[in-house]
Amino acid sequence: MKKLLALLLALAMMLGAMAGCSSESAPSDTGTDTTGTTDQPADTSGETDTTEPADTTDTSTDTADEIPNTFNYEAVENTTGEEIRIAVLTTQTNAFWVDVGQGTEDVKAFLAQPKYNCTVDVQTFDNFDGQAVSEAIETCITMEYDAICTVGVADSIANSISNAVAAGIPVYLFNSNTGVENEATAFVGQDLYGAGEKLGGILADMVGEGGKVGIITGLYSVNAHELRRTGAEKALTDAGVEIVGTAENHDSSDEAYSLTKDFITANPDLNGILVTAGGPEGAARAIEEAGLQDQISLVCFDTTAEMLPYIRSGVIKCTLGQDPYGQGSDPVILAYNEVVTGEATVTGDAFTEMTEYTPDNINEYFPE
Amino acid sequence: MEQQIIYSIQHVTKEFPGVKALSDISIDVRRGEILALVGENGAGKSTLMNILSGAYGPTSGKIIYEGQELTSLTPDAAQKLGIAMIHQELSLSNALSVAENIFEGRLPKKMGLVDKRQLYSQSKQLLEEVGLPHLNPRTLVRDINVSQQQMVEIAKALSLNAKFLILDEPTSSLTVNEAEYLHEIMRRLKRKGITMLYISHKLDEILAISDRIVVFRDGRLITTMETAQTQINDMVTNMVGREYSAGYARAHYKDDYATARPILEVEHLSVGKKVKDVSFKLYEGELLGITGLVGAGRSEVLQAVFGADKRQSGDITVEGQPCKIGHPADAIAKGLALVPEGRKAQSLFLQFTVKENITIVSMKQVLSKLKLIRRKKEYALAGEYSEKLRVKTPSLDQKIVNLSGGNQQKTVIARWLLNKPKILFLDEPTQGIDIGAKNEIYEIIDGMVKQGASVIMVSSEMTETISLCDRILVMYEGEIAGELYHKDATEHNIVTLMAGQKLELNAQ
Amino acid sequence: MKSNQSLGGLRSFTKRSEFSVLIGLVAIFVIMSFASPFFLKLNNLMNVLQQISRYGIISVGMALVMITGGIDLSVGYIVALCACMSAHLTTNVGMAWPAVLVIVLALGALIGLVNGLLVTRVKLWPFIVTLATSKIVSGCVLLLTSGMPIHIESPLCVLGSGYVGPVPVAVIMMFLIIIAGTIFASMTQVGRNIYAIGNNERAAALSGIRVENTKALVYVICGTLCAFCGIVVAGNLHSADASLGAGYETDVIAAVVIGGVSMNGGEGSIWGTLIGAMIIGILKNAFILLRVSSYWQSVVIGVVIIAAVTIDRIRTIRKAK
Repeated sequence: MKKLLALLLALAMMLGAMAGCSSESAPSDTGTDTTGTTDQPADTSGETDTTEPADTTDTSTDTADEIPNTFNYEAVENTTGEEIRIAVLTTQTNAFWVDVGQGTEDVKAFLAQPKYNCTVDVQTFDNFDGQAVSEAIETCITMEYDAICTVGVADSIANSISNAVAAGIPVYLFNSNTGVENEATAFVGQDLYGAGEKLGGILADMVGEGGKVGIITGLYSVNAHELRRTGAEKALTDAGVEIVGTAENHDSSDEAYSLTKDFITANPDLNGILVTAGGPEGAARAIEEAGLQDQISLVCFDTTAEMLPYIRSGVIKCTLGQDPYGQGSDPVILAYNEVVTGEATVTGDAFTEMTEYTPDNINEYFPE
Repeated sequence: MEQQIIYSIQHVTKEFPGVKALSDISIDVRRGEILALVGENGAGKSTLMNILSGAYGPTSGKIIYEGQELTSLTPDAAQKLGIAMIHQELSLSNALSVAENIFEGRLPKKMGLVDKRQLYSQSKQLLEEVGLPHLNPRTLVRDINVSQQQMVEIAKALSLNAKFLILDEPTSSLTVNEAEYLHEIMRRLKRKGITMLYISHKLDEILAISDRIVVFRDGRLITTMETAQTQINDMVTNMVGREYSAGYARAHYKDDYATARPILEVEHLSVGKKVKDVSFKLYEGELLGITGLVGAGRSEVLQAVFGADKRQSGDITVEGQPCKIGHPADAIAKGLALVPEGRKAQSLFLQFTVKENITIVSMKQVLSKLKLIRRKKEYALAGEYSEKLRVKTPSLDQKIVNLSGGNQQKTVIARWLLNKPKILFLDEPTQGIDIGAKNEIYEIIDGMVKQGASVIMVSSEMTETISLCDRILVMYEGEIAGELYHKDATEHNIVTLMAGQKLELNAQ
Repeated sequence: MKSNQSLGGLRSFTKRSEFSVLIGLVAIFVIMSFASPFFLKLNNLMNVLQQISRYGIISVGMALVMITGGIDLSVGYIVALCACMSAHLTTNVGMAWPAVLVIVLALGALIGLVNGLLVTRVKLWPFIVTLATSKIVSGCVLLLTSGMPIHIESPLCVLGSGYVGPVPVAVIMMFLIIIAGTIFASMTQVGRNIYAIGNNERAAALSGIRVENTKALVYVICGTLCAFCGIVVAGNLHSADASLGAGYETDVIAAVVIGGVSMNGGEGSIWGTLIGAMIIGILKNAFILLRVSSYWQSVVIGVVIIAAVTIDRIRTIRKAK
């Protein structure tokens, strides 16, 4: 029995140790509430593993090395006299999110400066699990964050959003919005339905009336994907294009690959494929392997590194951007501003830029 | 030509902690003979076989094979010397072919891969020698019958150039025809000069096949006989006749059979191949014993009547009323109880306490009106019966796994007594229990019968059976070979019936 | 006859497997109270209990199944199907809540019965059976919902999102079910039979216990509890979709095993699984409070499960000696 005791205690201590050296989340949490190593001045650099000098209380950082604002909104100065804490709940299902994450990392470093005195804690989920995010929001409420920014992964988080708002914590959604109404201050993301319509229209122009297309969508349960899908379907149907099939690829490029091959097998005269979410490079690979890039027009969203070669080579005929960097950073700035000033400068939908990338203009944005 | 001695056993003694299995055994096995070994269970036959095949060595004495003394013989070394043991439990791999089994571990190879042509052609030759010329060596072992499997085992031994075969109860799973077939092959092998040691309980077979017979009793060699001059009776007389302890003398043995009422009647009971059309009666207030060799079907009879195992046929009548017993719950409802053999496997709940082991069958008696268990009542009831049977345990909450075998068995008996059964079946009730506890259990059984219960006891122990039972049924190969009342219950008579021989009661 | 004294009772309690896990729970609790200032807040503790209530409810059923030596891998999917069914019946079909309650519980019981019959009559391994039914059930969920979420507003939602003072109704439900489960397991004849079967099935049959019926029963109980959990979950989120319930079986089995139920069956207590569920729940809460990266979370939970099963194995070996 003693062994059991020791084992369990060791397990618990291991947990505590892991918390202490947790890598990506919050090196600057030494400033606030952990176990007591915090009172030393920043000379003891044991805990922090990022580069920014944010915690040195007596050196003047106002002068050189100020981090530039690379975001779509300006941040007000922190006049509350207190540290502001914002929680960001984000997903990491594929390469698209790397760009979003970059935006979040940058805004976190930006706001950590003494002028803004704001800590941003990022929690990552590896799938669109409404229940998990819901619970995380509840915990954030308990942890008394000043604001919460989260991906609207599923309708099931609407309840928790209301709880947060009721507790005086503003919530901002980004990238995906819930299907049901929610009490978040604003949604920073693509005009999803509009984007679907636009892309559907672009594809309809390419294949012409009577053309045949297949739709590959991320998940039916994710509202963002649904809006794009339904928008695209409307535009295509209105233009007299035949939709031969729709399938889920769960944001995975491997699944997109298999589904595309199946579409081609079932419809040898296929004219187009529209991908609503992640993994279009899989579809591109399937089309290229079959040598059908001239017959089949592939259109999709976003510009991840994996997709660029296919855009350049023309297998992907068009892709719509949604400013992932902005999605990762803007909601945080907006939330911060609301906390400081007490007023929301942006409410409702804050749609991001929708750039059309084609083989012709891609090198302007992403030089080789 | 002079007869040579192939294997000489000289003054071999084998002791295990607390038990002397063999005492001063000396045998000279002649080359090319078929020597039979007979004796009751526990007489020492297995021990000798194990020594001869290298499973372990003698405590003292010598074994000399082909003129060479063998010290620290191992099964591998024995095999290389040409000594092969055909076990009772066949050791073939069911999923492999006949050929692969014969050459297990020594498959002929060519350039690192198995040479299948060699494998099958060599196997075919061996199969011809054992009288299976038409058996395709590619056949999987699980697709051939037991008799053929046995031949494959022998073929395997031959492939190892065995000169000395030890056959342990080879016909226990064979039909009469298959047994004769085996004997034919044995004669064939004998003509080729192979020596065989044959262990069996089937005395008539021994007379048919062997040249000489060696009789063991209690670890000693009693006598060696020339088969041609031996009869069944001679064998039996030598096998039995030990000094047996008085056993347990009951005050009174049932003698009112003329007017006795049967409380249980079983007719035409058949269970697979184990029990063939068995019919018997149990009388009220009787202690009936069922005995026989292992595999005779005794336990199967009890378990089938109790509804624990499926039966193909059998009508059961309790107290004059025919009943349907398809599940032990039915039997229990009719007032039956069964203490099975092998308590670890079949009766003990090892993770339960003594109390829980006692009350498990009688839970209804400890429930409150709300159907919840009443702790105090459970303790009281378990305590009452635990004391009645003098179960030695520090407390009722002791895990039963910590009790001695005897006390565990008493707990199981207490479990059934709690239910106040009319008919109690006991299967090897004193198995693995020391002599002191045994006596306690005999007292308990006697006490139960005195109080009006009717008991059937299956036992392999001669003393126990003879001294306790009012009447004894002896089973042989799934059938009832004979019935003996207490006055005629002698070891001689029982062993004769056990071996499948007819008994003339008047002669003894 | 000697019955146990109260001091002896205390001693025997410390020998129980639940005791050592209780120590572990207290240890983690104490460590967490120092590690994060938010841990002891009433708000947080209630949150944790609410989150635990999901597995806590199912654990009772799973514990009973595992005590008989079986296992049920389909629990998460039954939860998903029943959650979606309750939302579907309420929102799309417009049924009144009492009818919804009865039908959904019956659905869970029915799936449990299928599991039970396949295990006892067709004599297939519980692992394989429940793995297969989990696939079938998850397919049914997709057929029912076409992958879309279904909203639900109903008096039944109070089970998942209602509060009695500061205590969530779901937590009260969990405690009630655990108490009922404990009484059932340790104080009824059927409960005793369940342990007997797990201990030695042959001996149980020979003692007159209807083994097959009892084994099927535990699967029915498990299925019904999963159905109830589905209603709670749907009520909590006011929404049900096909992604619910994924991975529940891992957490539930972990909670049950940590709590002292052996994989071999025959022992373990229902209230012990509450301790196991609490340990898992607090660990998950710790991840967020201590801002541990989500990548570590999976690793730690996996390690805890291995540790729990290893401890279980050592216990079993020690007992066999």
